[in-house]
Amino acid sequence: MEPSRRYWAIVALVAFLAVGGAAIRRKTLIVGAAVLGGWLLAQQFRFVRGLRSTVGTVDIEQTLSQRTVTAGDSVTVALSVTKPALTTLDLAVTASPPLGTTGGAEPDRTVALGGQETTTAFELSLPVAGEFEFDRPRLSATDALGLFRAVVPVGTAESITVEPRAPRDMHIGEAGDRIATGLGEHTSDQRGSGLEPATVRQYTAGDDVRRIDWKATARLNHPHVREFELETDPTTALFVDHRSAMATGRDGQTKLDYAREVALAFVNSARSLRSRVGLYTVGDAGTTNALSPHSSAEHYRRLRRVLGDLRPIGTDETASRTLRPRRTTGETSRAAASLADDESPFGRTLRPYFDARTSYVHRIADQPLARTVRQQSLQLNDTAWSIIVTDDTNREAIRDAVTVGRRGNGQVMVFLTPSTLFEAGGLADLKAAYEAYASFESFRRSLSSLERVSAFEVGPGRRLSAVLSAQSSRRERATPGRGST
Amino acid sequence: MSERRSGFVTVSHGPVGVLGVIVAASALAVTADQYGLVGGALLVLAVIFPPPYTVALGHVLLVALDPNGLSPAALVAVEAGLLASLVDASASTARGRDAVAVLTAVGLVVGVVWGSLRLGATHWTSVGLLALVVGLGSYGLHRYELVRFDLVGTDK
Repeated sequence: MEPSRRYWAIVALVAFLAVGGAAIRRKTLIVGAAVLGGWLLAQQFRFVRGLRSTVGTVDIEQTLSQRTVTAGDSVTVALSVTKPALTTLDLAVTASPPLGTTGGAEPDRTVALGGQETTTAFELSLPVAGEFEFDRPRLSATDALGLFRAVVPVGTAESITVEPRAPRDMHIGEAGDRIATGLGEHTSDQRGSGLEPATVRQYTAGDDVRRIDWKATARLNHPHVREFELETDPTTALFVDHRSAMATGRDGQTKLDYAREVALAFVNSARSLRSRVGLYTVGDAGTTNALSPHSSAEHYRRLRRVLGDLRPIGTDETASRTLRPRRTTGETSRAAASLADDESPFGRTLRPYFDARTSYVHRIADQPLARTVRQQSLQLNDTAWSIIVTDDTNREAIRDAVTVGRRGNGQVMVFLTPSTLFEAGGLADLKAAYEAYASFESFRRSLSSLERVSAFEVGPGRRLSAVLSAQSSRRERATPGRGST
Repeated sequence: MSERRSGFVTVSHGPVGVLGVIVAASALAVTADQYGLVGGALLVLAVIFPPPYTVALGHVLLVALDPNGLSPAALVAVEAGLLASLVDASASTARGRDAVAVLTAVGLVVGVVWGSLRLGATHWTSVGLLALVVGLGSYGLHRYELVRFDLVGTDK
């Protein structure tokens, strides 16, 4: 409750009468002060009672045009308020958009309650990716005499998810061909009791008679049994590279933007399959996030948040700034952890500054990707799937990482962003671009040829098509008459 | 009915308030002998100032008169008239229970102060008691509002 100047003016009047009465020893003045003091108390009581009644009966609806938007997009917020019939207070309701939004000046998002039902709508732009919450709208109430004012949250809070701006022509495939299977789905390569038919083989002594496939037996004239793919719940470890090299590319279409989409697809797939997935992000100087495999809804949300916040990070500039000795990494982590549950205005204000800071979990000077895969693979079981999302700038390191990831029975999928498809002016010389791509493709094939390893290219589909079609045209020109009769 | 907007407070004199001021002014004019003009002065002040200020100035005028110049009945009439204008000041939209709330609060505070004076407390003690009652009452309502509307811990 905020007393107004008018209130304090009358309090001063009460004080004047009371002190004056005591000074000149006149009871009449003191009684006059008591009359005004009692009147002020009554006004305050009336205000609180009216506010209680109003908050209990006011009908406020805050609706967002979309629950999920892309960073930089706009969302329309509609605020509809129905004024209680029996209120003596002057009322206004203001929407409370989250920090970081632009647009929606306070007059635009405020509804002054004149008539019975009032509505306003305003547009907000959300330039930063993440989960945001629109606080409950604030009801501002002033009594008819203008003595008191109070601001009370009413209605319900709304949340919105802002997805990072994603590339539009995503290509994932091999040698220019798109892969057909969904990301995150993988065969177990083990036979057993399951639902997916795998193969039919001849009956051998010791096989359960119930497993005989009678149709196949009749067709092939020998007893055959059908085998099913063993259902497993594999653990997936995502290793996402966000070194400074991943910043290559146009705004919103960098290597990291493509890598992020691949990683998000795996997280989404894991969420729908309820499988365990962990995330390890790698900067130029080491591991920046190490989130062990888990399968809770909160864990999936956290992975999405971390991936959404991922930015290219180098060894010198960003990392050294975040590791300035005024606050150690551990202190930063502890502060961020303690602020995570702090719902006070202090905590809410400071949290974004700590969340935005990227710090290294493990500093690794040499070959951070391979070292990170090695470190984390030791803590995973032998059948874990390792998904490595990186670029092709350090091929030796990738090969090392793959070797470590496929130890035991581990399966490895590598998603590589060919640098030639991202470099500015990279397609000016299509011949050179193709040669660079051919080199990349050769490297990718060499990875794919390894046992339990699949390697894919990730990049802008149109640019890849341009490179490949230019080469096709050149071949056709080089062999005129070929194909014609 | 007249309405004024001053820099301090905006209130209106309703019919009851106008009647209250007339009663108070009449009681002063009729019973204060040669100082009866004070009643006229109160009427003029009531036109110029909003009710809370009118009430304060009314009490100043009462003090200006010799206490012996007013009979107890006239004093009660003046206080009742001023109180009526005060009740009416908050009664532009008020219903009966608002008037009851004002009369109860005023009665309580005046009762405490008057009772202390009657029991022999000094004037300063009574003023301290007045400050205590009003301060505690106001703070209690403020805390109730914070808890009732879940505002504890917020900056509002």
